[in-house]
Amino acid sequence: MENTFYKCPACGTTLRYSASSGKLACDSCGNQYELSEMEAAASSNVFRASFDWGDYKANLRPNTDTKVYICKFCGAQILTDSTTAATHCPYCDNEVVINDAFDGGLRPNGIIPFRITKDRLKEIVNSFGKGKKLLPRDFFTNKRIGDVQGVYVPFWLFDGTVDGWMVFDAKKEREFTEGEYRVKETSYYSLGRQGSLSFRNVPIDGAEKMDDAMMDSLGPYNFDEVVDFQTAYLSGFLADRFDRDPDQSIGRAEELMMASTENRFRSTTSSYTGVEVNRKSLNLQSPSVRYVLLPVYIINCKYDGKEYRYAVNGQTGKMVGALPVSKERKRAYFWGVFGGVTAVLGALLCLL
Amino acid sequence: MKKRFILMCMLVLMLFGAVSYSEPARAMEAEAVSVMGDTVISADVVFPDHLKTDDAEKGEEKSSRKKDKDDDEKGEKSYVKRIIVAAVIGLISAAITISIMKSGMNNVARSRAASDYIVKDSFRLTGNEDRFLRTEVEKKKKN
Repeated sequence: MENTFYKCPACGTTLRYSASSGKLACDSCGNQYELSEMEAAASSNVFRASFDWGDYKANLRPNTDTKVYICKFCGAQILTDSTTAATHCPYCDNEVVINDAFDGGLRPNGIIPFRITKDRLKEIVNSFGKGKKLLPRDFFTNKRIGDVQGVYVPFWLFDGTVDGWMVFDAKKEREFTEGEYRVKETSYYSLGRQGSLSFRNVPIDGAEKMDDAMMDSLGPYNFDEVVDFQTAYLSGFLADRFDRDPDQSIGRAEELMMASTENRFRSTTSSYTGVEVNRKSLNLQSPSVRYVLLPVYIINCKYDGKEYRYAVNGQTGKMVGALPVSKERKRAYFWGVFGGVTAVLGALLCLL
Repeated sequence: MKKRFILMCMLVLMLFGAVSYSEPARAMEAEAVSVMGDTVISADVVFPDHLKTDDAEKGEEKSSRKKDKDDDEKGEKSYVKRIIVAAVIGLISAAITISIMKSGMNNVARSRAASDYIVKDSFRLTGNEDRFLRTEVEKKKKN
């Protein structure tokens, strides 16, 4: 998504859309510019917003009381406390994990501890397959699931306010009868909206190896339960080290915040039809970031020669993943529905 | 919800099939009656009672048998058509049912917005202008 903003040619201040004049106004020097003028010059002036992340790195202290395992098969770097031994890699499910000479890693700003126990996890897994008619009956067996590992996944939590304006093209339609004519009247409008919307704790996972869609689907987390990080929380669990820094993650956070802001602006145009964005200028103001570890159970299953991975939110118990489809059951349902509908409908049609 | 949706789809398809087929079926019956009526009248005109010969009576019988045979064939064809329509609707219903069932097997999707993380009551609408541009009027004479 390309979000653009315009600078005042006179003083360099970011221009704002003035709903009253329909022009781009400079708050600093008071100049006003036609949108078409600025758009004509846009090719040379448009640039992506750049972000000043302040001193987030300074807030991340080295962690001296953890150790790091590196999986020699997939290269995952796994953190744990000094008393927990990593027996297998949560990503590739390989049993061989070697202990590397690394120590520490960056100390997270916060952590949400695991709330879901292993017993509760079993119930969640069982109920996940319930009602799924196409699921092979023997898929979620204890033997197949094997050991389930709780992993703390590194997330960046972004805060910020999206500020800007949007111009929509819209119309209102009305149909009526006038004598012997049917009349269709279409009125066209230009809708200007200016405002801001704030966001808190937009989570973007910082682990390259984690499936982004899967991590997105695990939310929302209740971030009121974020506590200060202490190594003791890692006892019995593993933690991944981030390998995607905030600068690499901000694009995604910005995209999500912009989309929500656009939706919010759009919701103010509900009395119109055919609403389409004509132009916009949205900027993320005063962004900030925190590094937190969020609890996730990773379940790897092998079935019919394929590998399936599931994730369970360790705080809320929400489980996500793609289930396999049993060919036999699919066939049985297809022909069952086909036979049933054909028989009933055929009988009905022949009786009529 | 999904089960209800599937049932609704099937019901709609069945009703659609029944309605779309009952009309032509009735029309065909009406047509058959009128065709038969015409023939009888025409037989009366061509062969009035006082002019009827044995050959004419035989011919009338023959043509009546032929008509019956044609009607039977028409009826059989119409049943075959009905069953084909039912089978096609059955296939479509089965395909829809399976695709709905398959879509329920995967709940992984990328987020498209950050709506879960909006700060409550933080939306500030500082500018709001609806500018009227023009009106287009289209007139059509009623039929």
